[in-house]
Parts: sequence; structure tokens; C-alpha cells
Amino acid sequence: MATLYNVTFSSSYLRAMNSIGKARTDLDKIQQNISTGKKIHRPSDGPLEWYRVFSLRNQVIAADQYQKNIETGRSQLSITENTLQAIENSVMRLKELTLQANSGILNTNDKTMIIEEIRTLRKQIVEMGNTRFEGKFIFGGYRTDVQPFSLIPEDVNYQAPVIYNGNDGEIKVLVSDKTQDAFIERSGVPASAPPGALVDILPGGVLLNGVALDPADMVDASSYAAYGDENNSAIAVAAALNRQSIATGVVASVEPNKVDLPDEYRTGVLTASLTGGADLRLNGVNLVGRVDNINDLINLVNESTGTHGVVASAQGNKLVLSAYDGRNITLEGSAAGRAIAGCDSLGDQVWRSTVKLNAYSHVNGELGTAGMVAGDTLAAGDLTINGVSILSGGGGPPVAPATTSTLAELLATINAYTDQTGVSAVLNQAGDGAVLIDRTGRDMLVEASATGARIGGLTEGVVKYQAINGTGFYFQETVPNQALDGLGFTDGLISVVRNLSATVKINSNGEELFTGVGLKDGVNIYDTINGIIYGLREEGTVKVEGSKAFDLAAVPLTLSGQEFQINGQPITSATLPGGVIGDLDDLVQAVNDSLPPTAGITATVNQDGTRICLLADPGIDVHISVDSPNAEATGFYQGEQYHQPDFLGNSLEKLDRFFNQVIQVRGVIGSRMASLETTKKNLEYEGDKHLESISALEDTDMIEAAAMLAQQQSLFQTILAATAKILQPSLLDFLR
Amino acid sequence: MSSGILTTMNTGLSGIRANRKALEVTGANIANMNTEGYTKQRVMFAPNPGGGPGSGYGVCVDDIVRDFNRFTENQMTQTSEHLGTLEEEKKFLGYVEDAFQETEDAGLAFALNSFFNSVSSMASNPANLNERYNVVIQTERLGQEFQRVDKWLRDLAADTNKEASALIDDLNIHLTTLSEINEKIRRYEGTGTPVNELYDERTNTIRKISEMVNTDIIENEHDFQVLIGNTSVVTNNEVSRFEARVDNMGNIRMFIASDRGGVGVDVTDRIVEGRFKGLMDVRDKFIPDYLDQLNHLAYTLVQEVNRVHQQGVGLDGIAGRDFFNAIGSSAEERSMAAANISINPQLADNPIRIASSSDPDEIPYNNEVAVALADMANKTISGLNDQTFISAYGTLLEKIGLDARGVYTDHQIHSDFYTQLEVRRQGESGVSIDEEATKLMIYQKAFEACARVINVSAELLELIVNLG
Repeated sequence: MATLYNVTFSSSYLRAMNSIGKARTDLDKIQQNISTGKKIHRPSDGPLEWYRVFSLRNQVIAADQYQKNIETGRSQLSITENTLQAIENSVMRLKELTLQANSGILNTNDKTMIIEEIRTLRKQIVEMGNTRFEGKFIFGGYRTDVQPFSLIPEDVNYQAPVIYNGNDGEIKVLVSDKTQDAFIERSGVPASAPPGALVDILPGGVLLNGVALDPADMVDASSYAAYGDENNSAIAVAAALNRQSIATGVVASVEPNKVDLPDEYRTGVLTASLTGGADLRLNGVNLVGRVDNINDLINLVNESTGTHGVVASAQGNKLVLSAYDGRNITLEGSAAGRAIAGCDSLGDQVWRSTVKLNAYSHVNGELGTAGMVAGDTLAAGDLTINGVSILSGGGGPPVAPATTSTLAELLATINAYTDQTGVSAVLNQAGDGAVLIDRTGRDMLVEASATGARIGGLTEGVVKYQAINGTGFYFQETVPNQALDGLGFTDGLISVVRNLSATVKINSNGEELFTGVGLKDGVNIYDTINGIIYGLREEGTVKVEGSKAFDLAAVPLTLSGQEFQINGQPITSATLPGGVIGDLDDLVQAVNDSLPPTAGITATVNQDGTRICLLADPGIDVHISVDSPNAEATGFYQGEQYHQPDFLGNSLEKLDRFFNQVIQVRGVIGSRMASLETTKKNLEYEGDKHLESISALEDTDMIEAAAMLAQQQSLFQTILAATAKILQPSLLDFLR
Repeated sequence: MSSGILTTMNTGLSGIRANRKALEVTGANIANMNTEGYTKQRVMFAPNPGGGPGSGYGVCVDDIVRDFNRFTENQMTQTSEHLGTLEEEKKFLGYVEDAFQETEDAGLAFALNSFFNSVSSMASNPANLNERYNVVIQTERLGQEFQRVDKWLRDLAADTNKEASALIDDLNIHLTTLSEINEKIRRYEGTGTPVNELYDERTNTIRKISEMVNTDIIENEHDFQVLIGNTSVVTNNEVSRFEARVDNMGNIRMFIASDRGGVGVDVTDRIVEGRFKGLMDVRDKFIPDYLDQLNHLAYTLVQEVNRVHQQGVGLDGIAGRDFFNAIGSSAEERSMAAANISINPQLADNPIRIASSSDPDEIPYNNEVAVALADMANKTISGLNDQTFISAYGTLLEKIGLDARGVYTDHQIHSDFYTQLEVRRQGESGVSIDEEATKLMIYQKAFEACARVINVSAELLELIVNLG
């Protein structure tokens, strides 16, 4: 029967060949694994392992790119840090110089040298603010192609502020796809509390990345510290305590897993409803409307003030006000109004400023109308502007009018010489005086004789005044096209302190972002240094912006508040009996009655009983504006030194503040660099781990493979030998 | 008595005849030892029907039978059907894997990574023109990779059509052969002409057909019928022809001519096994699936990148440009996304037009949009099941790997099983030399013995004659 012979030659052959084939295939596979060093060649060799290798390899590739980006970031931060250190040193030196200057044992020569050094340092700081890295300015925000800080070349007396042309841009670099871990440890606070419950944070009660958070630094804990949700609360506390970010390197916000730049590092949070209640007034016009962004504010200003010759425009996130024809710009705002600019930290004081903006030049002068009488003429030597005599009936074309009996005639007379003098005259805003505008940016030299001066409201007997020194003319704080930055409308009277913003932020995706240190506060540098210069040069001159003195001979004198202002406060004679001033004592009383106690200024009669003397509390500058036909007789002279405010102390305080800002920013930069370093290390560590995993998944274990190869080889040989033996003998062989 | 001796001689003669026949058959078996599909034959001896004068006792060859096991044959037919399916799938999935071959410095994933990395570098240095040119180059490479894979897959689908068409021709030839064999069997069976070889041939032909399509055999005493896709295509010597027709998608479909003429019947979907089925699986199931995912990835990439890019401003201050050429949302356009993905030529012409800034006033150094673009490599995309672009692509490859591995494993199992069946068949129906050698001796001895019987009878007869 067939079943007896169910092993035939063919079946043996087939079986043997199949075994040989299989062994050969296995052997081949092992050989391939050894020769390529890999055991997974294509997805089907192990789809799950293959996918893991695929994912890991992609992470390694991404990490390579992140490391390159980190290098870019580190280089930039490093140069920023170096520059800041240099600035810090300069400020240190400034402080030393200020202290020296304050010591009181210096002679004029010493002081002059100190002034020179201070001026040099000022220049240096500005130059350092213009530091470049790879051709890009590092302190300009996004405007890395424009020199961020500039000085006005004509500003020989260092009065003008430094102009800042940068913006708030943050140059971002992707350095990770992970959220940075922030570890919050709590003790002394409940682990959970009902949503919305307020929780006090005890000193040392909360640790953020090991750093104890100071509850005193909580900005607005009540709005954040809802402990209902574990995840949120941790971040919320971090957000509330963002000021600790220098120490912890963590900047946080309330959104879960989202770590964001806190508002205090931002500018221009422009959302406010401006009401007619003098939230914001521009040249006496109330600005009313809703403001959500800088463009809204610009539109509002332009709609409201188009007829006033003021034009607003934007520069990044800043509002720039420009005025034509040398008009004054007076901005007044309440606390609420200031909120448009996101400037809550100044408190509730009402602020006000008078900034004269000039579209053409930073030099301005103003001529009054006092003393003009019919038939007045300007003769040779009466009025000289920039060396050119202004004569009635001369100049031109057009030819000047024959008389200067009216303001219009005065303007026409001066303008007839415009081409020669480079100075033109326009009507001031009130229509009661002339404004001189220099179109060439030069110093304006105005010389007037007694006669000619009278026409211009110049004091009799005073011969020469340099416009640049401000005497003889209204010479108010001049802010040429000064960018009013997002933290309130900066002007010469209000010194706005703002953080230098050097920010590296970690956002939702854990990207570390860094920006150039925004050494934006040109105003600060200006104020600080300026203060010293004032203090040294004039030793606390009371700044008087009037050309006239009260004439007590013309009693009774009535002051309505227009004529005489101290620090913007109108002085009126309304409180006096009969509302008139009869003598010096009356004037003193009028001043004291008109000034609120908060002004920090009191008036008294001077020692020899001839003049009024103003006493100011330490740190308070006195700013006097006089414009009265009767001012003369008070003996109230320009430039007299009645009081010496504490300029030096003030300067030191400002320097300290600036110094602290620089230190703080350096701290931030340092923590950002450390954070980048940590990220880099993490990336390297993860990269190694990934490569290890890839190797474990994908690479051939050579020892194992070698053992298997040997095993398969002997197996293969055994099969071959066995097959050869099986296939050889058959009955036929034995029958031979 | 004499008749007795003569009868004995005749008996011896019948034994010689029968054993000679048996020796012939044994010889044929040995000769066909290595003939593929040859079924070992066996001689069935039977006692001579007695009765007739001169016939007497003795032996005759009752039948020569093929020694085979129908169960094994059926198993082999079924297994070869499925193995045929798997053969084609294995072959083509191997090609598919080749298309997606990823290495550390080539392939679509590499191109995707390079693309995002180039954007990241540009973000660090938005004003640098070289970085921007690099973005253009990497984007073009990415497009080429998408197009390469897309074309490869479409070419594979076209190849399956060519093979299907050739397969149908081949099938027709085998069917014709089958009907001719049936005709021969019908003609020769019962005439004494041996037909066992024809049966072997028929079995072989059926095996070949079953590799191509699922085949059912209905066989009884009178009829032999072959059903393919539940349609009778061969009945005895009658045969129907299949036809390869091209549908409006350019795909081959299998038709069988109608008896009544006319258009015929589309039997494509009735073919559920065999190489034809494998080709159809690859063409209609695997490749469209992969193409869908590839196109979806390309489409989503275009949409998402464009959405972000449009928000940005180029160095020339112009915003709202597409990064990639826009691809419409119609199903047809989406299905061509991988083939059509390409960088907006405006950007390629002048890379300063690539957006990097979020604000026209802050060019060139505002890099927010460039960073956002680079960060898209990390963003999970809701349209991609919350995966990133790279991981979505990885998932596609993983799917291909899993499909391929499934098929390879299945193929290995069935291939082994088929070999087992083959071995069994060889055991049952193959020629065993040992057996045949034994039989040679047996038949030889029988032949000798029968000759001896005649010899003895002749001597006896001579003795009797001499007596007389």
C-alpha cells in the first residue's frame, strides 16, 4: 500500500530543500544585521519599533536645530549682558562723581572737570545703548536696523533728552517644544480652598523652583489666588509673584500650562474709556471716546485737535505729538486718563505738562507784546537776530512795515528778514506774542536794545540775551518730536520710571523668547544726568521762564493768574483785600495763598526787604513763569539765586534708581542665560537618551548576532550534511 | 489431462503478460520520478475470469490506477488560491515599502524636518537672504519628495493593472487547455488508451488556475465543470473566455462574455482569492488608503502653513501671501494634493517675500510669524488626529509596516503549509524508489516464475508426448 511508503524520495527532497532554504534565509538575515549594524531595515521588520525609532530620530533632528537656535540666543544675550555691565560701571562712576560734586569742597575748576566727565559718560552710555551684534542693534527691539538712541547734536547744554527710536519687539527663538517645569511648593497655605477664596501667603510659604516667594511682592493676589484648581493655583501663584522671576527664571500667567510675559514687561496696554471729565485734555480740549489701541488714541487726538495744529502719529506703540508753528502742546490727564497708557503705577496725582513741540527746530523763542505803542519803529541796534539787524521798513522782499506798533507788524518786520536770519516769527497760540522759530537748527542769538526790547516786551536795560539760555524769552522745556512712550506721556516735568525690559519669556509651548534689553528710557538717562548738570552749573538756580518783572510802582497790581505761575500754579491776587497787590508783602501773601500746601513752596521777603524769595522743599524744582506788564517793580530778576533745591540729592536718587534697573535687567538676562543653558543641557541629555533608545531598538546586538550566526551556521551545515545522507541511499544502492 | 496442461501453460502466459505490464508501469513510475505533478500509478491484478476454453485460470491486469488522495489535492488547491493572493500582496507591499524608504538623510520625513529646520533658521535670522533661499530649496525638496512617493504609488497601481491584464490572458489559455484535456479524456476513456497522464495534466492545470483565481470544481461520472467567481467557465469541452476591460478610472476589470452576446458580466468583485484578488487588493485597498493619507497630509500641511503664513508680512511689507500654492478643498483637488504641493512661485522668485514679521512696520527683524511657522513642526493638528505633521507621517509608515508585516507573516504561514501539503502529496502520490525497486524484483520474480510454469508445462507435455 502507498501508505507504507509515505516517505518518498521527492518528499524527502522537498522537506530537505525547504529546511535548507529556511536556514539559508535566516543566515542571510543575521548576516545582513551584522553587516549593516541594524536589525530594523524597513517598517515591516517591526512596525512598532520602527515607529519609535522614527519618532526618536525626529526629536533628535529637532533638538539639533534647537541647539543651534540656543547658540544664537546665548550669543545675543551674552553681548547684552556685557554691555549692561559696562553701563553699570558707567553709572557707578556717575554716582561717584555726583557724590564728589556734592562734597562742597570743590572749586570751580574741579566742578568743570566733573561736568566734562559726566558729559563723556552720558555720551558713552548712549553709545553703549547703540551696541550692535552681527550688525544689528541689540537695544532697539525689532528696529535693529535703526540706531536706537540718539543725541541732538546742537544740544550743547545737555538739556535735551535722549531720543529713542526702538520699539518693544521681542526677537524670538525656538529652543524647545516643551513647557518649562515650574515647581511650586507650598507650606502654611491650604492645599485646596474653595474657588475664588483668598489665600494669604505666608513668608516662606510658597517656593517656586526652590526660591521662597515674598508675599509682599504679590501684585494682585486677590485676583489670582483661587486655590480651587490645583494646576491653576500653582501657576496663579506664580503669576501673582512674577516679580520673583529673576530668581526663579520662571515667568507665569494664569492660564494652565501657559507661561506668559507679565504685563509689567509690556507697554501700551491701551484700553480705556475717556470721558469728558478731563481724563485727558490736549490744549484745553477734552478728549472723549473709547481707546483700545494706539490708533484709536491717534484718531482721537487728531479729531479733537486738528484745529489746534497738533498732529498725532504712532511710532510702534508710542504716541508722538507734533505741533506746527511752534505751538504749545499742553497735555493734562487724570489718573484714569493715564491708564490709557497703562501707567497705573504713578498713583492718582493729576499730571499736566506744557511741552512746546516744534516741527522744525528744537530752539524756540517767544516775544511778548508788552510795551508796544503807536508809532514804534525798530532802528539799528534795537533788535538783532543772529547778527542781522531788524529794521522797520527794511529787509525783504517783502519789505517790513514802517512801524511796529502791533504784533502783526512786529511779525511782518522780523519775517522780512527771514532769509537772512534763518529765523521766522509766528503768532503764538494765545495770539498775544510771537514765537521765533529757527529753521536751521542753529543757536538763535537775539540781541535787543532797551528801545527795541520794549517792543518785544524785553526788560529795559538788559541788552543781550541768548535765546538758548532762555532769558529774555520764554524758553520752556523743549522736547523735539519726543516719542511719548507707552508708560504715560513723558515730558520734561514728569519723570516716568519704567523698567528696562529685558525679557525672555516662556510661552505655551515653552519657547524661550528673548529680546534686546530695551534700554528705552532715554528720559531717565537724560533726567539723571541733566540733574547733575543743573546742580553743578547753576547750583540750584530757580528756573524762571519769564522775561519781565512786576512793577510795583504801578500799584494797585491785579494778578489774574495768567501773568504769574509757579510750577504751573496760577498766582492770583484774588485773596487779598480788594483783590489788588499794593506792596511786596502783598505779593508774598498772594503767592502763599495761591500755592497749595502740597506744592512744597513758600514765599517770603528776602533779607534786605527788596525782593520776594521762594523756599522750596528738598527735591522740588521751582518753575516760574512770569508774563506781566507790571512784573518789573517787584525786583524779581532773572537768574537770581534765591533757593537751591536739592539737585544733587535728587540726581543721586535718580542714579540709584537707574542703577537698580540695570542690575535688575542684568539679573533677568542672567537668569535667561541660565535658563537657556539648562535647556541646552536638557536637550543634550535627552538627545543622548534618545540615541541610546534608538540604538537599543534598531541596532544589532553584535554579541547576540555573532552567537546566532554561529548557531545558524552549524544548523545550516548539519541540515546540509543530513540532507546529503538522506538523499543518498535507496534500495537500489543496496541491490547493486 | 492435456487440456489441463495447456490450461496451465495459458495460466503461466497470463502471468507473464500481467507482470510484464506491471514491470512497464513500474518502469514508467521510475522514469517519471522527477516529473512535476506526476501521480504514481499502480497495477491492479485480478484473477482471470474463468469459463472460456483456453482461458482457464490465470491473472489479468484489472486496472492501472493513479495513487492519489483527493483530500490532499483539494487542500492544495485551496491553499494555492490564498497563497496566490498573498504572493501579489507581498510583492507589491514590498515595493510600497521601498517608496517610503526613510534614512537619516533622505526621504519624506527628512524633507519635512529639513523644511521646518530651514524655517527655524530663517526665524533666527529673518533678514538673511541665504536662509530664505534655503527655505525655498527645502520647500522644493519637500514637494519633490511628496511627488516622488505619490508617483511611485500611482505607478504601482498602474503596474497592478498591467499584471491583471496579463493574468487574464494567461487564465484564458489555461482554461482552453483544460477544455482540450476534457475533450481528450472523453474521447479516450474506455478505449483502453491510458488517460492517467491526462488526469495529472488536468490537476496541474487546475492548480495553476487556482493560483490566479478562486476555483471550484464540480465533477461527477459524466461532467467536469469549473466555476470561477461562481460562474461556470468550463463545462467538459466548452469554455468561456474572460476579458480585461478598462473602466473610466483606467483600471482593469475582469469581464466574462455573456452567452447571449452583449456586454458581458463584470466578475471582478466575485474573485475573492488568487493572484488576481491580490492585485485588486493592492490596487483598490492598500494603495488608495496610503494615497489618501499622503494626500491628506499634504493638503493639511498646505492649509495650515498657508493660514499662518498669510498672517505675516514679507520683507517687502506685503502681507497675506500663500506659502504653498493653494489647493482647493474639493475632493478631487485634495486627492491630488501630494502631486501638486509646491511653493508659491512668487516666493520662489524672490524669497524676501516669505513672511517672517507680524507687523509691516517692524520688518525685517520682527520674526513672530517665522517663529510661528517653525513652531508648527511641534503643533498638533486637529485635522491629523491631534498629531504633528511628522508623527502623522510616521503613523502612515507604521500602518504600511503593520499591513506589510501582516501579509508577510500570513504568506510565510501559508507557504509553509503549502510545502507541508506538497510533502504529503509526494508521500502519497510521488514515486518511491524503494517501493518501485521492490516491485521490480517482485514482478521480475513473478515473471520468472510464470515463465517457469510454462517451462514446466512444456516439459510435462513433452513427457506425455514421449509416453505416447
